[in-house]
Amino acid sequence: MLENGRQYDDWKYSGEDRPDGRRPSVAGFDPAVGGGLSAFTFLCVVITLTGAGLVMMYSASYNEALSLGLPHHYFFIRQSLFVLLSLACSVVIRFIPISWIRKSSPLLLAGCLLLMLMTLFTPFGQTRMGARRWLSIGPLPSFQPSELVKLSLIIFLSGWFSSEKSERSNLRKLVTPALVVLVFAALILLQRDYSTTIVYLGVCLSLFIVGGVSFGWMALFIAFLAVPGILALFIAPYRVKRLVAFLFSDLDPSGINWQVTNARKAIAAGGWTGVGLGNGVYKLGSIPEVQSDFIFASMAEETGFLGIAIVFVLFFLFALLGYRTWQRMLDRNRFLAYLAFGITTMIVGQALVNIAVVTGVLPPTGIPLPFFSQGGTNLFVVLCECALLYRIMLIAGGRIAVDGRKKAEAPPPSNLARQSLVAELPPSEDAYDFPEGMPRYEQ
Amino acid sequence: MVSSPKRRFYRFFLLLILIAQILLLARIAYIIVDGKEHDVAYINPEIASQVVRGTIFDRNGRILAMETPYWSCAFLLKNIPNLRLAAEVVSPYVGLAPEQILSTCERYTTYALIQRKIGDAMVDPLREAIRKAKLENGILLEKHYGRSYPASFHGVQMVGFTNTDNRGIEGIELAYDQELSPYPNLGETVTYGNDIYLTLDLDIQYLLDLQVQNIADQHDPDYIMAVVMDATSGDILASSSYPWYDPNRYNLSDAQQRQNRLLSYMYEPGSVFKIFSLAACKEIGQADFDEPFFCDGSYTFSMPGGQNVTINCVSPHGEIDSAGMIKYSCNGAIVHWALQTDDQRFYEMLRKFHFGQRWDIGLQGSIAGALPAVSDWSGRTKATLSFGQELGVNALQMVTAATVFTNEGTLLKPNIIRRIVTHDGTVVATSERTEAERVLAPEVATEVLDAMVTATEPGGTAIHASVEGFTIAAKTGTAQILNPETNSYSDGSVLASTLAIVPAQQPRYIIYVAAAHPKGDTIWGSNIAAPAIANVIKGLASQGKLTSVKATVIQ
Repeated sequence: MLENGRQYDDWKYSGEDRPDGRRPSVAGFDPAVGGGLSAFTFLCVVITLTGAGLVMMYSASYNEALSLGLPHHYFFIRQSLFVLLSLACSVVIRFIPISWIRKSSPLLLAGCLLLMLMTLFTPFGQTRMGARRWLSIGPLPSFQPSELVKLSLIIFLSGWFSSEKSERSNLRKLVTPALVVLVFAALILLQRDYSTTIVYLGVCLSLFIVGGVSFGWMALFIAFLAVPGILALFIAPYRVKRLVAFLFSDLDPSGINWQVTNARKAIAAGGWTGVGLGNGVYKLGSIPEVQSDFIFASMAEETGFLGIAIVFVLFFLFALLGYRTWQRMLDRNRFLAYLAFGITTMIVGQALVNIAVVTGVLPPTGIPLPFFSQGGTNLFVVLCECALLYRIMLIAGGRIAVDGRKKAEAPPPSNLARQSLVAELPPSEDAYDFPEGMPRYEQ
Repeated sequence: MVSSPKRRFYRFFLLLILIAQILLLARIAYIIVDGKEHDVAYINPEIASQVVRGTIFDRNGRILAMETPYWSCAFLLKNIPNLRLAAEVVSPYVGLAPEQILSTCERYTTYALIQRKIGDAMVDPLREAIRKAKLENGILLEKHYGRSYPASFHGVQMVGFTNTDNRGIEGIELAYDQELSPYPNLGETVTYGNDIYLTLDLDIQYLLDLQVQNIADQHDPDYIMAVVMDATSGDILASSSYPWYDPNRYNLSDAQQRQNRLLSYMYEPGSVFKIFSLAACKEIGQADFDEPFFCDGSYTFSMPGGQNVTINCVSPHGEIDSAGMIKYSCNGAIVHWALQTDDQRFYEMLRKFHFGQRWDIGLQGSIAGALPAVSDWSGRTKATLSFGQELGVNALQMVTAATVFTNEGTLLKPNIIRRIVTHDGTVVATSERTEAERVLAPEVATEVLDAMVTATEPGGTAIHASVEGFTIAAKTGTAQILNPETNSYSDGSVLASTLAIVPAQQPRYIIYVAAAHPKGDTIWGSNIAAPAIANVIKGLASQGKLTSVKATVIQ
């Protein structure tokens, strides 16, 4: 890698072509490795999304609140409280040792299992709109344990695929996590939350892919899933109805498709520039529960294609930064890398599925739009995930150590460039595992 | 370059998200473009700006209620610099003193209605005066359409009236408000309501009202109800309810005058009812009519409890058969026969005559009356029912029940609406002769009718209803009126009534007149109502509606 005593870095400044024929990376940008990474940009993206989410949520929910006899700001205040709560939680996430997070994953899973079982089989569980998804214990606000399951499982799978034990055989790599995933999938399914199950399985599947499970095993796994999956689809008449209504929407324009039809009209009414914030009319009763799963329709009506495009750019920026973090950390701490990947996929995936549902591309299901939809648990979990991702970003950017201590100073730019170069090295298995807390290219 | 599989995953997932986002944006753009194409501009539908209320006619097309234009005068206060001057300009034409006009103006800030209706003759001079005073911008002459009732008080409670907004308030105007004044139609400039032809005949109505007014003048009763019904069709040809009012000035009327007593006043019919109880007894056939009843002036029977009850007649009638009972109106005879008849069957026969049941002729306020069920009877109820006490009827029930005798035992349904016609003449609805129920065998109906004829023969109670040259079947009655406050008959007020069917051989008209609480020198139905009926019959003959036997002879 070093030729004539020259480092690759030197080409960067010489303007000459590198010996491998690639353009030298400039200012730490190398698309192959994930390019520039600014944790601050990410912070801005998250804050913008949350703020816009609160504003849109208020606009979409005041009518619903008033019609329920509540003050117009009821949902807004409630949502803001969850933002504050997650802010407090973010501080904890920023400073607890990463190893704790990793080690606590079996405990987290056990806790989630308990909560899920409580929701399903104890009087604490609450049934709303035909689904038993909420848990209400004493004075605590009711929440959906299935939201916690998603995060816990991402932590668990990241830990599993990054551990040395899982490297030994493909079977071991696949079977244990697959079983855990399936148990929770069954529990979420029992809560009559088919769509969440699918998103959850999709995220798990992508984690399996990046976790290095071979495609052969994966195919087997999917085949294994497909049978009970389709059975579960047809076991509940309402799911078949929704699917039929989706496939042949003209048959039932006012029934199940009511929300979707009106969401479409709302989007069309918004046009390119929107009718203006707060001026939407479809939120005034035309779309039931607009502030939760169909808030995108209200956004499209009020901010138009332009506003939607901005939201898309923000989500893409989110994905870009998240996946870069994944790539950046892959060589240093695979647990954190997978965690970054899982969190990013989860949030962006949910957003895409929600928007696809509202625009009528996918059958109507109850997937919230992260940052925007009314729903405390979801927002709380999403913001906590973002806090975790932010911390991983700080580590990836070399701003803090894995153990959470702040570094004395920021690494020089060349450091970043070096990382990118080293990533070009022929892969060697042991080269990827570094002891935690020791940045590899410390000079 | 060679990138590791992991790098490829990075590109794969990022590309996946990018493609998904682009596709979704394309989808949203498609929805927006598609929605724009399907956008249909909302065009205000053209709705008729004016609704012309339908006209109410009598059966011959004479107008009872019609729309007429009228002018009203209003001030736009902000356009009038000198209010006193304006008030003085209009004052002589609107019939108000300038002070009155000024005080009206004080109650409003922008628009003040000074006079709702200006006399037609005053409109042009007033317009000229306004023009001279150069107050065209401040004083408005506005044209409106309102209701006129050229027939005035004739049949007024049936026709009713409308308020200042031209909505029906009483009678047909209320009951058929939607027919007369429908919602404005789409695609028209003027929507016309349907015209209604009533079964009333203004000629007969006039005859009847004349007699009602006569009774009112001579005997000063509290109320008078009078009806002429077509004996063969059940059409109400004339209907009077005294006291009455002028619908053109309905604001001067009181509730007593506006009440349509034909439908809403419940009373005990008295001896006129004997024709129905006699028919009931004959139809049931349990009473012994072969052996004449001997009337010595009173009739005594014992109640189930053993207590004796005595029914008095006005005078002893001697030997009485069924026709004699009607002729002399003998209480004892009808009680005697009624007591021979089974309670339940007697009650059911009276129900068949529609007593105790509401007649629905499409007007509000029609009552059911009160016919007590057998279980509520006391020992003397059947006896008193037989001569028309202890039950409540309205005049419509009485006159309609008499159609049984003119239709071979079949009861007809009363009609007030003859037909409803759209503005362009299409008939929307007509009311036909409707048979309500078969009540009597034809022979029984004829027998009772024949018996009623004897009453207008010399010596009969209804002799005053007789007119030379006509065979008239009639029955008089003088019923006691229960004082609801004291719950007794003791204050001596009576209801004097007569029911007549003419001509008896081929009945065409049923005439019923009832005057409540006459305060003149006589209280008898035979002296108050019967002469009025005779006069109505004479009037009908003079109008050519009835032909005298004598006239036939002359021809």
